[in-house]
Amino acid sequence: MENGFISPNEIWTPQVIEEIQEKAELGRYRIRGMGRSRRVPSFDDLVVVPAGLTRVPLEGYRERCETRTVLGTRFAQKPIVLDIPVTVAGMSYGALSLSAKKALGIAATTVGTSTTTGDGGMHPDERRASKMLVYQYLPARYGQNPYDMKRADAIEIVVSQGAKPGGGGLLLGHKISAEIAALRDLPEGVDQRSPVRHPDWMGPDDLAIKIEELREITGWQVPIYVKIGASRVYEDVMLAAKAGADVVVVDGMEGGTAASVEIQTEHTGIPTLAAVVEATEALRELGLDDEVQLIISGGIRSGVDAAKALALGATAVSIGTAALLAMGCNDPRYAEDFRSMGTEPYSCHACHTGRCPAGITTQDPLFMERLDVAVASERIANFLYSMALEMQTLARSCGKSNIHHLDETDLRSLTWETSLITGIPLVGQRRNHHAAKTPEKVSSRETLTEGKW
Amino acid sequence: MDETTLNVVELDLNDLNTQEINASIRTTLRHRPNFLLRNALGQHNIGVGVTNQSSFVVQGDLGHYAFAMCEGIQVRIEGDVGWGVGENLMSGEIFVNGDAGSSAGPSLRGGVVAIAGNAGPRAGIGVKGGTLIIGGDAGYMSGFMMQKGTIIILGNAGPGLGDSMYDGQIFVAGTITELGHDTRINFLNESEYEAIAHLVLPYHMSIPLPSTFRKVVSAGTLHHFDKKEIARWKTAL
Ligand SMILES: Cc1cc2nc3c(=O)[nH]c(=O)nc-3n(C[C@H](O)[C@H](O)[C@H](O)COP(=O)(O)O)c2cc1C
Ligand code: SF4
Repeated sequence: MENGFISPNEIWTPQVIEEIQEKAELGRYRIRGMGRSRRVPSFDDLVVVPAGLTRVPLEGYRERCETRTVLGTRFAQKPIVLDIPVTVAGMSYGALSLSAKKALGIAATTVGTSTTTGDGGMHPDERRASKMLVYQYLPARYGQNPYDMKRADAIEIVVSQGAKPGGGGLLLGHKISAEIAALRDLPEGVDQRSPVRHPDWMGPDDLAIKIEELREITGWQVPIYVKIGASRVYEDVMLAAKAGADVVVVDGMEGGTAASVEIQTEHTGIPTLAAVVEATEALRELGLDDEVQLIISGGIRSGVDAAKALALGATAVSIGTAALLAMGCNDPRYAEDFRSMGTEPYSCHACHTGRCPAGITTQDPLFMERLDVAVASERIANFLYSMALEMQTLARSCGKSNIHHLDETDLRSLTWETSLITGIPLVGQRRNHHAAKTPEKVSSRETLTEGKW
Repeated sequence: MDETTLNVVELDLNDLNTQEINASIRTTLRHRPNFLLRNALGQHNIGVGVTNQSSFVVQGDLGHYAFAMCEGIQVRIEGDVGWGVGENLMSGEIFVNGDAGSSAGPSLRGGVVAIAGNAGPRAGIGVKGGTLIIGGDAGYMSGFMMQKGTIIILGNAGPGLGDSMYDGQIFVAGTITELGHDTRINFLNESEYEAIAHLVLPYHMSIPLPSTFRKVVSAGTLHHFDKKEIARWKTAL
């Protein structure tokens, strides 16, 4: 046989062929969990530039590096005070098992941070487990009631998610058990497609009235967050802040999900790296960067990603997938089960099937039994601590006694692309050769035509 | 003046801002749960989050989200309301002796929201229980993604009625411009007619009650994806 018959094809790759064959079988788009898989510009293309002669680093063991973080200082009488600037993102009971929800709550409480409800409302066990619990106010309003709302430590109005901006929640029939159906007022076993828009408000003017409603219900006590999947971030953040949000949560396109239409996950929205830059710029432009806190999420994997996000202007980061991985998602212990599902440990993204071998994204009692709440919560807490330590390590090396003092000057870009996106100087270039972050910002096009590169 | 009238707390809404109105309601509620809210001029977010047994008479119009997220309230509004009246009501009763804007009774979970006049688009969107009664016409996409509960429309229903409803029932006395996706019309039996009469008559909206209703329910074809039903799914996905 001639060699040409086995040479790799750049257009019709094995992945493309598999995708077409699967869609030919399904008759619809593919759905899957986890989040985006292809490479997009990310925090990996930034490096931290620690102290040298220009700055003095701090002693690791002796000199404190503050991690305390306050959210909701704008209008709320009781802002949220976190020990670390890493929160647990909203993941619904329904998408997750109850044990997983409890483990997240216990872990967040142990390390002194907040966790968040999700599309399925607030479970009493989750409330008990979580010292600081953010209550999501979503388009579907499943299980929503005034009592849970008043029990919450903050309210998060979900406009959209990074994994599927412009798309609604999905929970396939295998996960709509009798209990989940009762909590959501749905027929048991139905494929749940949540609405994309809120039922009773449309645009930013109505959002301002909606925010006032939630403040009135909660007596102006707790912060009101607005969560937006990253798309037109600059404009959206401005509108959310103008509508009266205390905290804006921006979820980049890397954001995780329990179930999403694959093409939405892979091809919509903008990367977290770009999102944090645009969001920060919007708040600065409004002069609200001291009043409105910014939480960034979507593909945050470590204290390093978190430190870089903070340096770019975020007040805190939020994690979803990383917390699931910490508690046992993709654990090679379940290799046999993964194979029976047609996947492998470290490659699973089958959360939508309800057959999670690790007992995390399932409602099947057989799998749920596998998740030990005590062990899982300890592992998540360990991971959150590790993130805080990593952030402190980087901040101290930059001579910062507070991780919130990290800023753009502590970073350099490794690639031209990242430098253009963030305005952070390319390694090997002096800062004043790069105008993007200075007040007299010039557009990328001008920079290029003037030959400054 | 009898004792009940004396016990009614009167608030002139013209003198107060939203925060003051709701704060006055909250602080007085436990001891004196009956309110007369005078001079309502379309203020938004009035009476939201009340979960004590209480009664309100409102003279004038209210804006958006009137009496949203409440439980156990008895409300009579002598005027019109804006969007989202009675959002997520858990139990109790809200009667609007006027018209309602968009999304009346969104995500209703229990009790009754009754509108004597017309309701705008998306009335009863995402209803999860309870009853929404509309004395006049209901706008576009009413009952969209309804999950449980009952909607009664004594006038006409706009296009897209009950689109993608999971469950629940919509009764319409007048014409239906166009049914929403995944709905079908069922026959009404006598006991259902009696149940409608029982629900509607206390509000004296329509006497005599129309002699027939059409009952709209979910066809259930979108409950599970089926590639053989692709024509339906193309419109829904
Ligand atoms: C299993 C799972 C369930 C989720 N459920 C919700 C939800 O109910 N509401 C919501 O706003 N976001 C939901 N998300 C998105 C997260 O809140 C968050 O935006 C995302 O996970 C952040 O990205 P990361 O997973 O890369 O950390 C979910 C994510 C996952 C992984
Ligand atoms: S192991 Fe479970 S939680 Fe992790 S990707 Fe697979 S199904 Fe999802």
